Amino acid sequence: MDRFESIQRQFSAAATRYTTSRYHADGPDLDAMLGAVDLRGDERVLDIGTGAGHTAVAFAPRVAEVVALDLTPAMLDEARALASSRGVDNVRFELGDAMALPYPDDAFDVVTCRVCAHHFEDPAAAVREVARVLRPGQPRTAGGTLLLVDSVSPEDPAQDTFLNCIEVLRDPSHVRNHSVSQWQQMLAAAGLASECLNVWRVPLGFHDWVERMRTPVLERQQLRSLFEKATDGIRAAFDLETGTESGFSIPIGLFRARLPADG
Amino acid sequence: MSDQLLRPARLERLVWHAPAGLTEQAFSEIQPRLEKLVTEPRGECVYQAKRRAIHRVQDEILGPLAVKEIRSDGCLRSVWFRFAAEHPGLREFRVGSEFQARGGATPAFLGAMLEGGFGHVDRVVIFMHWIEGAVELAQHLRDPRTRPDRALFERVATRLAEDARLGLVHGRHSSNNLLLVPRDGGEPEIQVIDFAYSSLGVGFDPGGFARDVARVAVGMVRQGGVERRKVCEFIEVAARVAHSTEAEVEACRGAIEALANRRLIQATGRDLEG
Repeated sequence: MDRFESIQRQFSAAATRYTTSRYHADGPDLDAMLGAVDLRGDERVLDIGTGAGHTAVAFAPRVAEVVALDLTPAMLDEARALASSRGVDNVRFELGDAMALPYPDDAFDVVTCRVCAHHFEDPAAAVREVARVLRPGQPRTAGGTLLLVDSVSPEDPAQDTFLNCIEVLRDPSHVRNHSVSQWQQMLAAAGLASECLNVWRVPLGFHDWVERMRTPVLERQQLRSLFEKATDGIRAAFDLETGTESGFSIPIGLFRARLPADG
Repeated sequence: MSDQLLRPARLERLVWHAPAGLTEQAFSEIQPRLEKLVTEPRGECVYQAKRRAIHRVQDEILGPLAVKEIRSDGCLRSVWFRFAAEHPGLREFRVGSEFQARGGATPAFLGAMLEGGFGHVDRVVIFMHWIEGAVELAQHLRDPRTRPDRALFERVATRLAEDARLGLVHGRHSSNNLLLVPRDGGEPEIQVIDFAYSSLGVGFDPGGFARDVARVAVGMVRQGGVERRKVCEFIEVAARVAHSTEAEVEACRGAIEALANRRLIQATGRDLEG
């Protein structure tokens, strides 16, 4: 099984849960993304890893067109249904891979990518692809902007190890949560000037978190064991609570990255 | 394994890729020899799976070569890899040769060819040096004359940590993907192969390191026949080789054990302590 099949298998089984997930539908970062660009209404937007389509549907009323891209046909079906239920008709749904975007150069004014980049096996290549398909804009316009939201790992190696380990136990298609500095390094290497606008600590209940991904019992046992054995430093970093109401918080970062202005 | 030959390629359908770090001029000298190997195939098939095959070929100038074929396998996938995603074989070649260019210890990549037509990619063939006398770690561990000791664990762990510091997350490590390569007058060098599921990041990925070590640890139990108690020692060594503070070592060891236990319980019904 290659990585396409791994991601497709994982998300085909869990597709509907992403439509109803409260965080994915209405997380604080979704409003922050909309507020991070001055949209005029004539922009063409690419939403990479659209999932259940929440980001594409949120941007659609404010722009000319959104292309919603995902690797999993079942997720695109969910996104189509969401757009239809909201009466949104300017979103096009397409199958494709972030590491090899099936679009010509300068095809989009804005690219969005929300809570998906931790599945990229080659995030630097994905960022280069974004820079390629982005059309440079004028200063103080939305043109040439990438809005990236993803779970970020702490800079501390012990906390980084813990976070990425629990993520991969829960979801085998998880690749890596990068740190803020790593994202900024990759964005700069692709020629994008970036700033991290905010980092939220998003609280997650253990039960909902594993249910959404249908994590098997064996992996849940290993997760619980890791939670119970966590050091005080890790407990504090992730607001870890064990016991009947077990849960934790995960840091989610919003990055705005821009191509240099045209001309 | 068999004398089944590689399917001959047609030159007009080929696109060639040079490995990272090799100049165009250097590759232009190698390419005609590689072309000959795929248009007039010879050698023996040493590994065959659903989408992959490895052939061992002797070239008069380049020496013994491993020729690895990765087939698209089906119309839908061959169209998909033409328009919507990078072919897994090209990805494997790109990551492996970039790892080599960063100084990673792996058999040398010589080039790759993609074969296809308008609207489809049929297969990718990767050319590497074949290393005579190399022994898989699993085979070495099974040998009763070479039972694993702390020195071996330290050498394997050091290799994994050095690879990780170059940005490599192997993704499908096992004791079969680590080769002990003989060296004159010294301990064998450990080299890594098979980058089909690998990624190269911007630096050390502690979570990726834990995943890779966990897979090697499971491979030591399952393919190498190493006692679980000894494998716990390897895990401890690996965590200490890669990290400097006790908190980091503890987090790393805990992560490796959790990841290894999941695989071991799945496969054998028992964890590392079982």
